Amino acid sequence: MLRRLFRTSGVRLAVFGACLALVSAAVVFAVIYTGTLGTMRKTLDTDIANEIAEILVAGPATPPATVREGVRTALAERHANVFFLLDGAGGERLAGNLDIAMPDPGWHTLVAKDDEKFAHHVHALRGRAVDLAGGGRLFVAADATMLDELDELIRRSFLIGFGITLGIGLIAGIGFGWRALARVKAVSEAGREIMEGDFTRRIPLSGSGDEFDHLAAIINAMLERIELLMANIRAVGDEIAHDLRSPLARLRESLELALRLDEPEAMRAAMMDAIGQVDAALGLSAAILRLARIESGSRRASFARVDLSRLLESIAETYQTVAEDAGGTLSAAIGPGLAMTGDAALLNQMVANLIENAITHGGTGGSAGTAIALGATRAGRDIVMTVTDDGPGIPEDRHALALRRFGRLDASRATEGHGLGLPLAAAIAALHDASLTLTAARDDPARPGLKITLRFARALTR
Amino acid sequence: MESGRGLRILLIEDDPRTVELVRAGLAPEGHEVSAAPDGRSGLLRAAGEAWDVLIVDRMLPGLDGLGLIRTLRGAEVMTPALFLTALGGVDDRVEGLRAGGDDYLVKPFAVAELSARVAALARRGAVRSDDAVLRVADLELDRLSRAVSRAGQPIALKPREYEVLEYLMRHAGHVVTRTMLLEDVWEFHFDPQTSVVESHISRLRARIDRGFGRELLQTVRGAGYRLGDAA
Repeated sequence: MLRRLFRTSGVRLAVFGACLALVSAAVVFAVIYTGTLGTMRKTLDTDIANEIAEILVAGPATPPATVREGVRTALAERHANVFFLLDGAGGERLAGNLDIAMPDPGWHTLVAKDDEKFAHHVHALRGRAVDLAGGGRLFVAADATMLDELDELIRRSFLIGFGITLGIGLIAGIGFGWRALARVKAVSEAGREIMEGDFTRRIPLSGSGDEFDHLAAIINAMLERIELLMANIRAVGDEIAHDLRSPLARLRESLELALRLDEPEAMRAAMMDAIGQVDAALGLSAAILRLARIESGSRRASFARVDLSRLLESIAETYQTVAEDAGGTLSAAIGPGLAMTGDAALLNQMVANLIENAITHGGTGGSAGTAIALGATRAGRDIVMTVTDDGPGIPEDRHALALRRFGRLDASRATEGHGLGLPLAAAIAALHDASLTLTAARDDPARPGLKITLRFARALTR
Repeated sequence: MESGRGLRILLIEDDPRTVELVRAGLAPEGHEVSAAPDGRSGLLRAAGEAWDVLIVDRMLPGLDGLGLIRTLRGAEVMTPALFLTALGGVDDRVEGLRAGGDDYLVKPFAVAELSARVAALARRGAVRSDDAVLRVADLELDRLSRAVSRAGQPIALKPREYEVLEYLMRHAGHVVTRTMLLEDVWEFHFDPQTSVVESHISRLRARIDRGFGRELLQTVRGAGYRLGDAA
């Protein structure tokens, strides 16, 4: 968990931010440090150099007596915050107002140990030791307590600042990371349960509307769709198995019967019957394949100009004959000069399916013949096509089911057909970007009829 | 039947069961069926010998059916060719026709369907399609005026009925299947769930046969329809 926590983007971002803050603070520190302390030290150094120059009037070769005299004068004249030490060639102390060992030649910053002092209020010294030509060494120093305290102050405040920045950054990062990890954990737990088969499971939303909620909402919508598709596949699988069973079962019966027949003619008849059953099963699988191909959308590549008026007139003429033979009627009101871009073969099938659906199902309401009307007209830029029958119709709550694969409305399968007529028509309509809606044809609850309206948005002008 | 001549047919097909079925189905009609088991030998035989009809499987080892027909057509071998396809989408039909095939049939097929289509393909060159007047016995159809008469009496037909009759007369004496009518007259490349063909045939029969004694439009059981003097 801890390793995963430190791999979360929240923690990484916080660490990165803290590092950035530290680097910038370090730059500021460096600028302030050299700007203040450096300048102060330079001033001190100049003073000290001046003092040394005043004592060593002839440089390191200044006679020892002159040096001693100079130190004495300086000790008498100078403020208490300038310090001198003068040792002779043998290391003996000749003069001075400091009680420390003579430092080595060069620049020094001396800081007193905790409770010691160099003089009253003096904790730190800045000074230079110079060897004299005739042996002996001169050390001149100034009070550097202020310098030291300032140095301490700057360092400490920056350290505290760094610490706080780092601390807040890390805590915030860990907090964010923890929160993110907890949300991700909830998502992955839900995901695991879903993978194990619980498709009703959804990812919980925190309600804050943050990016995780957005993500969860999208994933939930996706799950919704997947659940629907899975249910669909399951249903279709059941339907196919069911629909294939009946012809296969009858095929088995026919073959079994043929085996027991001696009469060649009877055997022939049984075999013909068997072939008929196989053809029914093949027809079903062909329709399923066809539907899948249409839904894949690849047919769009072969779209061309279709003279819809002529296509519909021709279908109307054909099905007038069929409808009359079934005891009904078909009337057509097709506007002239309707043209669109599409696949003529598929549009042919779509209209034929819709009319055949009206012929086979429209007449099942009791009365013998169905009156079917095929209409097509220009509506603004669109073409609106309708197929209306006066049959028993479809209850409104079952319209979606009727358009679904195998959504046959009588569970007993008493009626003919493979139940793919309307779904095929709907798929072809969708391929042509047409909307397909089902409504009741009239205001008669006993026999409402069915009106199928297709609206094509791609009318072409002549 | 008007032509009793058996046809020389080359079947390019790798499935021995299909070969057996086609042989068994076409031999009784007097046709002679030779088989090539793969695309390459099929191409050589199709180009090297004289055939009346080629039956070509779309999926073949060596060289696929589409490529085979395309190559043949490129070499100006115009022998009528029928594709057998297991795929059965409209896309495949269009592809097959574009490659130079003349007809197509989806596997599994009824032998009667194959037989009728092969015979129709073989006739294709021979049918005088530019004849203005078609005649079968005492039935006459004028393709320019679209007038139909039998024994001199004019018969009024609806446009679709006329088209069905013209198709049947162009294939007079031969079996025309339901699917051939659907595809060639209606341009329906799907299987209608209602009796589209049967309804039209019965209307047509009522108009051209009723009251004339001899029936010209016959139903051939398990196969389709035939227009002509009853044999």
